[in-house]
Amino acid sequence: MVDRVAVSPISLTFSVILFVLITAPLPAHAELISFSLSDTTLDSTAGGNVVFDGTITNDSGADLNASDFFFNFSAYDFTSVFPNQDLGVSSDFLIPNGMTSSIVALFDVTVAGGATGQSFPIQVQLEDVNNDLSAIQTVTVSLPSGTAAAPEPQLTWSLAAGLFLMAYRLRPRAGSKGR
Amino acid sequence: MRNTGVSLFAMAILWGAGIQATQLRAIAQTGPVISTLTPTAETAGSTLSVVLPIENTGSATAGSLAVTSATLSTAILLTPSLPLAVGNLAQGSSYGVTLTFNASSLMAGKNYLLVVRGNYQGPSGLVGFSVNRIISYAASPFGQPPNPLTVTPTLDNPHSVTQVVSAANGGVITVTGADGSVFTLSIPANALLSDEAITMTPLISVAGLPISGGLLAGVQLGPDGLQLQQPATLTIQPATAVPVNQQVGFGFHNTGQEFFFQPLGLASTITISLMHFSGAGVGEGTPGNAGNPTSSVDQLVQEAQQIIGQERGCQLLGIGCGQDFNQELEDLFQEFYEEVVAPLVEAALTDDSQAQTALDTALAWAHDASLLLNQTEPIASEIALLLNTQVPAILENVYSKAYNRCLGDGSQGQRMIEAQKMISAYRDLQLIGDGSVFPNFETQVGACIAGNLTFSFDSTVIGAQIVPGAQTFNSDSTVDAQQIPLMFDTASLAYTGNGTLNYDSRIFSIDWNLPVTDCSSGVGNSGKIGVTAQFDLNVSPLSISSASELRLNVSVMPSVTETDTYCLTSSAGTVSSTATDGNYDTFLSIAHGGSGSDGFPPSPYFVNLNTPQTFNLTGNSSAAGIDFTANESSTLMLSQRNP
Repeated sequence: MVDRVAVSPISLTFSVILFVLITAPLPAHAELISFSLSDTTLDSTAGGNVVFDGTITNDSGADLNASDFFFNFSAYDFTSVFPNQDLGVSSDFLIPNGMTSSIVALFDVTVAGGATGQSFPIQVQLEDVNNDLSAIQTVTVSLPSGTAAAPEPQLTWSLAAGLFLMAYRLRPRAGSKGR
Repeated sequence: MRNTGVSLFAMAILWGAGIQATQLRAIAQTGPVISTLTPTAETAGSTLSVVLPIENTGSATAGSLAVTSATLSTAILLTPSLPLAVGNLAQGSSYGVTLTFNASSLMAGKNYLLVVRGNYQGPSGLVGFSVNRIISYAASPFGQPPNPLTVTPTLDNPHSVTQVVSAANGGVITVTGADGSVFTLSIPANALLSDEAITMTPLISVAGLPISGGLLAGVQLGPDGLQLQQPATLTIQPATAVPVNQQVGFGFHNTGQEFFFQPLGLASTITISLMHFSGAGVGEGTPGNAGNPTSSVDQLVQEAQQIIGQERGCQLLGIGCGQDFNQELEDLFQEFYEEVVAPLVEAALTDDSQAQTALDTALAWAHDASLLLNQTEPIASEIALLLNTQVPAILENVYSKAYNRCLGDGSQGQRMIEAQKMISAYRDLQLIGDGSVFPNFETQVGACIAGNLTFSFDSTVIGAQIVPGAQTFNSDSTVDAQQIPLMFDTASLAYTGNGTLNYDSRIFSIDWNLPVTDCSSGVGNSGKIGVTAQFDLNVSPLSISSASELRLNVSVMPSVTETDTYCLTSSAGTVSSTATDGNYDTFLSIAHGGSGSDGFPPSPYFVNLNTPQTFNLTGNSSAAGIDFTANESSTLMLSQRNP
């Protein structure tokens, strides 16, 4: 015999509410500020620099200048990439409330080093003077295999010297021919 | 089960609330996310201090977070030493990164991008972060290059008043302008280091005044540059009433240079608190651009005017302006102390060439702070330190340095300069109750002063004694004294001497107001003149560098008589009688503002050493129904006998 546990109407009601709360999609949260990137992945070379262009949308409730926006960069390989803000630095312009800017340089990333085929993701977030935050986007800077960095001249000469040395050591020796 | 249901429901609600709260600052992410909050920036001199709060708006703790670099354009990071180990930054927590930069390479009013980089332990290991904020570099108002404004006042000389004010007792002087505006200057006891002839001259106009409605009422106070030890109060009653929020106080130096706005007292009566002399007044309307005066004290006064002017309007009109008046003033005075007063005082403790500026600035700051602020910390302690310890130490240094220089200098003029600094410092120390620090003062000053002075005097006084409806007696006297030696007396701290006062010419006549012919005449009898000359200690005594800048307060006591013949000729013949008068002495006193019956000496002359100066004075009085008028023209020359 199986004991049945009595289920009260009230607890059934809560269960339904809980089910609805858990399964119902959350209402979309309207962002106060946001940015849209022309590309989220860019290829670079070691020592190179890539610029991420895009637009800024201001729904903060107030007119803002480009210099009122700031980028926060997180979770990246700080030994290999250096993200830098470009928006509002060299030139400033108004982004009225409810408007989206034209496509401008938002930030750039300098790649200090890394092996070909390596990718460097960076979490990027936009913030404004009122401390409003955008959603985080992840951009990636890649060092494609076909874009190996050209060796520096000193390296070229070292390689040439090494090859020359190897060739010298492996050359047929005249003195040993008759032995 | 019911309990379980309630618990789940509550959890669901809380979960939903949690989502909403998170959405205010961030959309939930996996792992830490480093964001910023609004930074604060303060400037002190060329040092810019920034506090940038960094916040973890992610979903996990940022472990072992460290700041590895901070850049602000070309500004040089002074502190902290990097890397700066912050430690774990939990989700939702923030940490204020305090940075100081040498901002001398930055331009005031411009925006600069602050970049702070670092790293932290995230779910995937040690990763980097980089945050950015724009910092507006607002340089301190006290560190800005001067850009002084010059205005052009027109003086109402006929309404000018000069009155000698006693250092010991203070005094009140009142002058009325041509338009009926009344100016009253109240100088408290011990505000002056020595007796001083104070001149108040109303202003007719001020061209270039940067106040929208122009001049309401103003006055020129002299001698310009006079420094007070206690604040004097100038009360202005303009001929025309204007609303309190349209009243703007101002000041300037010399003949209109170095214009500055200055605050009016909070009461409805228009008052200005003064620590030094210059032009002062009130305009009507709103203040315009006054530039940036050169004097740091004037800069402070002008900055304070912006705060006090607004508060005055709000208080008197009974409206709330919402500003934290006291806090704004405290911030301003504290900033001035840190940037201006403290460095000046520190330097003047060992360098007596900085003493005058340091004392003028520090005392103006301390008195204004005492007057305007509640005695809150740290300003109360700073004032106490200044007045009880630092000012006496500066004065003692001035005295000792001057005495040592004096003994090693053979120039009479230079020794007088040093002696005058000793006397000034000693007098200052006496006023603050520290005069006993130099028990050998008289001996040391006497050893410092070398040589006598000589005094020459050429004087003409024309006077009239008018009996209304009857006779008018006319007196015209010219006297002179040449090269009278004056010796320094250490007890009275004055040069004293006496000599012959030659009676050069005498004209005596009577308008009989009768159908008769006047045949009166007079003969002047040479006599004596006593002279006392004291150092004037009120106008920058510690920064004088040449003997001709030495200003002395010269009192003369003439004693000459006239033998006058009173004579008339009528159809009945000539009648005459002879009497001995003291006309020159009496009319000289009247020309100096005396009544003619209040005796001597006449008020002093203020002259510069080695510089002949002419005084043209006019006075009048009445006694027992008799009117007296007197006009004096005297040239004085006080000279050092040796180079």
